[in-house]
Amino acid sequence: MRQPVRIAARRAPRVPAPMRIAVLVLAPLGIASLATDALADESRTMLIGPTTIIQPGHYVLAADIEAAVDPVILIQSDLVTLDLNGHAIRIPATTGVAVTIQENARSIRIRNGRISGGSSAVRHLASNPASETTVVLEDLEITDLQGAAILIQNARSVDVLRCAIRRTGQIGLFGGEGISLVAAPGGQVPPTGRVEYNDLREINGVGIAISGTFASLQVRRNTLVEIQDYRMTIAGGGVRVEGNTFIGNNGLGLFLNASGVDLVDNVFNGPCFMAQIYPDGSTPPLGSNRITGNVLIPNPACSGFDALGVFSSRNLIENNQIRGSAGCALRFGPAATSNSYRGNMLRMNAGGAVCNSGTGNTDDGSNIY
Amino acid sequence: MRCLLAIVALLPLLSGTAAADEGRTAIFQPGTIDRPGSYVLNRDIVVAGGDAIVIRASQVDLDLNGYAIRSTGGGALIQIADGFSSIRIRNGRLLGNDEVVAIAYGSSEQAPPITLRLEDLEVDGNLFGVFLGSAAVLDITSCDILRCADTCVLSFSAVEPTGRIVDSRFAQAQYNGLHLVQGGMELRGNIISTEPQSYQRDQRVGARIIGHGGILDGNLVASIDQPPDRTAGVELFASGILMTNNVLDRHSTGVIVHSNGNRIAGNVIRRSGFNGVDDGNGIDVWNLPGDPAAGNLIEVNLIDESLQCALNFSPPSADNAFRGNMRFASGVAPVCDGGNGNTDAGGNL
Repeated sequence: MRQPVRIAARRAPRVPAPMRIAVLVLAPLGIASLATDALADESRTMLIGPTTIIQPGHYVLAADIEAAVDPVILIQSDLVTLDLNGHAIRIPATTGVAVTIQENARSIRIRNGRISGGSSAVRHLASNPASETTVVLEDLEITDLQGAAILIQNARSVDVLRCAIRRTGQIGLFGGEGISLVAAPGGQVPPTGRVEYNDLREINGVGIAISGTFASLQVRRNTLVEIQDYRMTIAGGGVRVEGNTFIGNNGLGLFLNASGVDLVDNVFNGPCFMAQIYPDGSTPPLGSNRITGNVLIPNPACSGFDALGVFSSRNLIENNQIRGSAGCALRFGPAATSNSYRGNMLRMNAGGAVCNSGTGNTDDGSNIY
Repeated sequence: MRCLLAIVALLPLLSGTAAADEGRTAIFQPGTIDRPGSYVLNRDIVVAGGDAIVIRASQVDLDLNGYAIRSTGGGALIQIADGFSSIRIRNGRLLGNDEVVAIAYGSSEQAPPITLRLEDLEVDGNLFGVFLGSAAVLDITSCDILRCADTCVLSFSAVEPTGRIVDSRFAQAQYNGLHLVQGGMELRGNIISTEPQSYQRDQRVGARIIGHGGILDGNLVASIDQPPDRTAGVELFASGILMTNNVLDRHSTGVIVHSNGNRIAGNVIRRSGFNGVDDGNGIDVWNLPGDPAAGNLIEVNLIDESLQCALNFSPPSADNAFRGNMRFASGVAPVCDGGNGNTDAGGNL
């Protein structure tokens, strides 16, 4: 039974007898402080074991924590910075979450260290669509998870910055996303956020999964490699996807059930296709996405895929460089209407440049065939 | 007995380390890091030769804490042993004497690929700033790597590495600024300069990219030519690169494209070719055996003062297209096309 504590660690990790003696030997050097709770410099609170944080403050890991408890750290307060300080939280089990954020926790920042093992690294599950949670995750290295690495639901804002995420979904086929962000349907205020400068690799699932309509979500300058499912899925809208690299001769490109997505200046080198664009569920089936300045060279082993499949309306497709697809460079399905394409470089695709079975889709010039 | 073993096991660390603030282990002399953790320098370290710091553990954070590691001999300032990964080094200086490697990993391309993150480092006067024999991920952020007697960053890999080199400076490289066998690399906002000392090697390159996919955006690349060494700003052996908004100045050739399906847009390329009549093209699309250099899109670049051609397509480069480029003062012609099916798609000035 987890007992909340006011300041620091709930319990110290058990120290083996030889190590206790070693700690005594090293006490003049300050290492004895590792076994106790204490205030660190600059009034930051040191953590040395599984903890429930119930007061605002700046908390810092003073040692690696290895514990098979769920969660290892539970945040039940607003205004919390948890600095892993280059240390690690390890869960030597297939279940358990490293850091769980309680619903309605405002201004939570988790940064600067490593998390491995268990089912997920950071989780915020909120049934309340009006949750006020705001969370920033930065400079984390997250590895070896049974499920999704980062799962944030119904937050008011979420930033995931400069994180390296490796080896998720080890429970089985497509078992875990790298980053999963869910905006609450019917939420009072659509959330905002940034997913930037992250590096995702060996993800056994979707790389970045985004669900729900965001007011503004920037997905920029991430690198996604060896993703076994879609590189990204977007179900909703309000997302700008810019300057990302999607690399590796496996898996799929982007899957959009969305409107209001800006897909700009990304590099796809290795996925079977760039994107499949479906409507957001509205009637008529609207897309209203802008696909511009992207580069695609698909996996030559893929067959039967078109490079960019459009199955919704009012999308603008311009200045993309698409080469080497086994199918068509651009495919407009029967439900695709009133789309425009211009200025694209569409040479050297086995199925042709444009395959159009929709209506009212217009070549607005400067495409290169 | 167990107590004794525990104490003996710690002895190698005791001589050079102590507990620092917030549980980080302080380092104050040359030695080996042989367990995961967070380490911090608390004074400068100077060695006369050999490796100053050896890392023989994964999951290591090394904070130089504003201090310097300096060598007056050979070896490496920080040597990471084969098989160890997830290393982060930051916040200090690595100073050499043109003979040492600042940060080294990998005895060969067959070594397990490393994940390495470097932040806020000043690396000055080394043979190589970073030398990786086998990389999985390489991130370099806000670093100054200066006066490289050979190449500032040299990274090989037998796997599919990625990474990010941003907001950093690689200056006065005598050979290459960056030589990256990387896929999906992002180079953004860097300053890169080559400064060959003359008569040493044949071609210096600001950024040589070998590996598919990647983004080069917003970099400033310059060279100081000195005959007869040729220089290039960017050389693409890789396919599917997005190269945008870079400024390349004073190279023998601004951009050399050996590969397919790249998009080269919005760059400023100027003063190409003032060290010999064999060079002097702004962008040179130039096939290699087995690679036709085909299907590249070259658009809205400003190419000024090319000694020969603003755009040059060597035979048999094919099916490339160019449009909307502005070209001034080309010594031979705006476009020299010796290839097949390369298309002027309009709007060129």
